[in-house]
Amino acid sequence: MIIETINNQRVLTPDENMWLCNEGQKVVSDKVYLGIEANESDWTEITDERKQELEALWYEDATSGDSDTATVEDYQNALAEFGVAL
Amino acid sequence: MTNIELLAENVKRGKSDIDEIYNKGYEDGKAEGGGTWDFTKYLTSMQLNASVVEITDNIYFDLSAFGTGLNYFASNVPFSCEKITVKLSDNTTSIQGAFSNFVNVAQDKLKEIEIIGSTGGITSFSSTFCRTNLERITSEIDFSSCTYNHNCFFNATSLKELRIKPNSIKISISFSSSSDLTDESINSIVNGYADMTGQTAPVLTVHATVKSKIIADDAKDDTDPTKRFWLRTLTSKNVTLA
Repeated sequence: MIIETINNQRVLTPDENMWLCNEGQKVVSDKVYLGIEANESDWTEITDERKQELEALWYEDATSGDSDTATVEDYQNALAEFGVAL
Repeated sequence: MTNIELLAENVKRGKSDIDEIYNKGYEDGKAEGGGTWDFTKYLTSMQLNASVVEITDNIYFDLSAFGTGLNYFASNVPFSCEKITVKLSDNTTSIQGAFSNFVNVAQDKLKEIEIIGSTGGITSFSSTFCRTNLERITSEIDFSSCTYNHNCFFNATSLKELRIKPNSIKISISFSSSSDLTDESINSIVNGYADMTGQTAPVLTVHATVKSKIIADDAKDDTDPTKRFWLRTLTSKNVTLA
């Protein structure tokens, strides 16, 4: 990983065929421009294979639990809250 | 028979008849001149189902009677109209997954979401706008109270326009799927960040195309009147661009 300061801007660039990863924030990037007090150590290098693994994992995380659809019970509860007797 | 009574009757008969309720509410609202599904304003919680597929006029949902959560309100519901307007309850604190659509993408025509009422009290925007065909969010989004926005714009590949309340973002946010954000939208995102100096640096993640725009802007001479100073603004606010 190359760490440069260009015009007072700290820039992280991964080595060839590698990516920068901040697992805590679920971010993979090809170049990172750090905030003025940001910590360089939050970023590590990963391979393309690892990138694909993580992105698959994060995609699953994004889409799981998002398949909720209303059930009859949901409608009954909604009506009950409204005070409609069934 | 009122819409609510009709809804009750249909609930008794089973979920398959719920469509009639939506259509009845829609027709009544239309007769009133607004195209409003008038029954929605009485509801305290509800998730839509696929019945909205057939509604091609733009829809206005009055959800001002809802409780604190709008979670998954229109999740995976494909719309045949291009715009929906949602009036929020003043008490809304979560809109997790409210407008996401991972399942019925091909049929979905929805391009614009308008939100009436402040989002300033909402703490969770998780997976809220994960909608592939969505192009515009035409209300200012206030992230002031937001503590969790993971995947808020995940898969928002068509998103072009949005406005964010200045200085309201205090946590990391990702627009990594959105390559077509307008300059004004990028400007709004940058200015949407609060000054995070002295606090943990949040990460703004953008699509490679947008990042190229930001870097190209930074490369302009400071005297160039078209320069927006996006990167310098982010850095000085202790925001990391990825």
